[in-house]
Amino acid sequence: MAKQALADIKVLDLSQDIAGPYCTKVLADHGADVIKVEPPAGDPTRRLGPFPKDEPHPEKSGFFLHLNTNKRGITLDLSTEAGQKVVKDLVKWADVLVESFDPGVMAAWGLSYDELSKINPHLIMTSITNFGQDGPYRDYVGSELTIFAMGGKMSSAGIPSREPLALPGNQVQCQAGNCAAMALMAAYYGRQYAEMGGQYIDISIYETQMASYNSRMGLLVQYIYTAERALRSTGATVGYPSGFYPCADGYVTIQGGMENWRKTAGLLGMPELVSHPRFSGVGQYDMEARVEFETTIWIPWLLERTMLEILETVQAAKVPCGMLSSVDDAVNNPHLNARGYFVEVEHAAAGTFKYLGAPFKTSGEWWQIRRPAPTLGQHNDEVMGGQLGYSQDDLAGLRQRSVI
Amino acid sequence: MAKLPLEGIRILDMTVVWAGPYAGMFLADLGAEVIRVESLQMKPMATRGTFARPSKAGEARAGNSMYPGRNPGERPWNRNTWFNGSGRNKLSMTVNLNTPRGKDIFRKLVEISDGFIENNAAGAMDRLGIGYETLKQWNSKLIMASASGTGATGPWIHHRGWGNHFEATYGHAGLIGYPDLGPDATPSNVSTDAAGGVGIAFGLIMALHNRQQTGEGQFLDLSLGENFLPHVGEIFMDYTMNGRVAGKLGNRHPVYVQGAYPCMGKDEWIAITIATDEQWRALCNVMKRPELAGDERFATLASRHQNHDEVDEVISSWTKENDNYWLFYHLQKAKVPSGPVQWEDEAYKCPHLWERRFFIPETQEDLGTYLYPGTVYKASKMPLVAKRGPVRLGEDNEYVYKELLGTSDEDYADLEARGHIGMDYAPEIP
Repeated sequence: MAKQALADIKVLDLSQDIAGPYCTKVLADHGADVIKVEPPAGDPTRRLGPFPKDEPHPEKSGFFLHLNTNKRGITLDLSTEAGQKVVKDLVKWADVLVESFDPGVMAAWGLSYDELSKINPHLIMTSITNFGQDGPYRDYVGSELTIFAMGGKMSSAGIPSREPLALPGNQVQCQAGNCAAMALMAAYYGRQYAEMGGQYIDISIYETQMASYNSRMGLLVQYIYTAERALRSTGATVGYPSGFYPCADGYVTIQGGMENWRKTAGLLGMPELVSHPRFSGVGQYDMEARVEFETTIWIPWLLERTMLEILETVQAAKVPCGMLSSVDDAVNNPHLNARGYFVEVEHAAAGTFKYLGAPFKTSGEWWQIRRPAPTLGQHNDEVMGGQLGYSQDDLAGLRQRSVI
Repeated sequence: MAKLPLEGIRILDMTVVWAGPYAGMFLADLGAEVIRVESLQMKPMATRGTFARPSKAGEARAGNSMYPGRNPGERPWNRNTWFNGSGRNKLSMTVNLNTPRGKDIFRKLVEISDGFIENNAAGAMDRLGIGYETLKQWNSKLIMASASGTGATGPWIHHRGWGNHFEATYGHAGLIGYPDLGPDATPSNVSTDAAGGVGIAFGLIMALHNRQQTGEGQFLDLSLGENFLPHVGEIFMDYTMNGRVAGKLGNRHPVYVQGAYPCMGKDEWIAITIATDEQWRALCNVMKRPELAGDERFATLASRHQNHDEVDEVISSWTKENDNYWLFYHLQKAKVPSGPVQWEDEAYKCPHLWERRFFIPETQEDLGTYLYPGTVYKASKMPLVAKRGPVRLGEDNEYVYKELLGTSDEDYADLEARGHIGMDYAPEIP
């Protein structure tokens, strides 16, 4: 296999749930050797679906399998001295350590950055938590929804007559992991090539949203410049057609007005629209004219065509357009499949499924699935026995005391 | 001042709109010399404003204005909200790349640079004659990162769109919105841009690392859709494992009860998630409704989820009588996951962000000093410092042309006369 860009990086991953594992997935998928440490009962994500046929099983969680590709897995009870000793031994091996426990927990276990950097001064340690390691909200509890509500662009999302809207899935936590991977990559580069040594990186999921270009950052600056909030609006902007419209088998979103009006006229085979007295020019600002155009000309044209037909036709005319794909449409998308985006991954317990592929492509094939997510404790012997040199008796003792 | 990781690294930047400039911000904050290569003859869409010269009357009428005090000012392109949010710590030079002389200048820059980032439509750089195949002849060690909705290869690379169009095509927009309303009520969203900016920066630094190890340059082909989809991976796994097509949940969760609940005042809300029985009991206590803790309808995870509408009714009848920050503090004392939906002004007043010094002052000549949002990490040896505020168009022409490229004073004056060098868009640009 071609050498992956991060093949030289060794990561000790104590994180659980979503944000930390997403960070270490990005590193592992690009070649890093990641040792994932789970409590003996397993990362809680093992108990989150989806499961094949909806039958819960700790080795078959689709979420866990997706988040933990390419990692080796061991179990440790970190609240025990024996577990903490294994961590300290592995810290000598590691370049990077990622953890996501509540602030103060690692310190209580004698595993703070102060302690661990004494063992390995070159260690780059990252903690990912809701609000960061200090500040008045440090110990506050949160969820995907509540952190987004506070940090992200929620107040302006939705329509005025209804509640503000959050984002789907667990993407806030994934983006936080993404940010952590970037900061870690910079710190590692600094250590290797700018003689910066090790350092500590504090990731606050709240702040990864507050400094996000999913509009939040721009809207904050807008406020600071104008003292005005970005209110929820009904979405009708000047220029039409613009926004979502129904078609034969779903919806499309099109930006066909204003500077694109001429191209839209061509698309419809109606050159007279270019200088139409009611719809063109100033007419593009007229909401009543908009309704007339949409109901008498535009939507009838769309309703005769499928999403894919419209996408291809409209894009060929160089008018910006998207189709409202379901997950089904996305997985069957011809462009994604031509680019080989989906990959098949085989897992001993869960079976073989299609997974999402590389976030970006390089000629060096830096992104690879070398192994699926680990089964619980899969690499206990390999890491503690083989790598750290613990004897079979040592390992038996740890098992007996439920340390591993 | 102590070193930053990317000091000594030079990156040429032809990014536009949001994702690309966001990446440039991270690289600049981390110490790289990020030089925006801009044109006075061509203003890219939605970059440094929708228009180069918006009318003051238009800004006065608009729903929201993108300019300080709703005033575009003399050089609106230096005063635009969306550009300025990520504009700090960068440099800017101007050149007309549609001329042989301009291309020659760009070539000389490529020869002395380490990286090149751009997020124009797929193929745009090739059409300008500065695609990777050409650039690597000039500098075999160059790292070029190209980001676009579609990525650089494939049957749809001619597709054009903004973030929201690709969000729809890649399956994200269909997951957002009110379950009972159509897609026209779906808010426009660009998670792909936020993820993309971070992804471009990560990829570029990884490629710099690889270059140190191998001496090789690299081309990074980033599709904003492909980069983002792993952020909703579990939704895709449900399809690939079970054939299930996810719909919109609004603010709801597949297992827990949660929502945004209305509070006292105009358009004030609090988000609450109840993930365990213990949190439900704690919530009932704070609401002073202890009898609800044992109510059969709400006693378990499953029963609460089944009776979600009633749960929402109970919670909102309480929240609407109270201030959302008061609720927040009391719920947090009881360890109930909660958070106010924060408007921009509320974010600026957040005591946690103040103590963590999240906002930073940035100063710029056409604007003055304002407080801007900082960044996504706090690193002990990579502090965020705004060495300069949002970069002005052509602000570093002298430095780049004279110091980096050794341009003589005569040639510099000639380039100015021919419209390459300046700080104002050509007068015909609206």
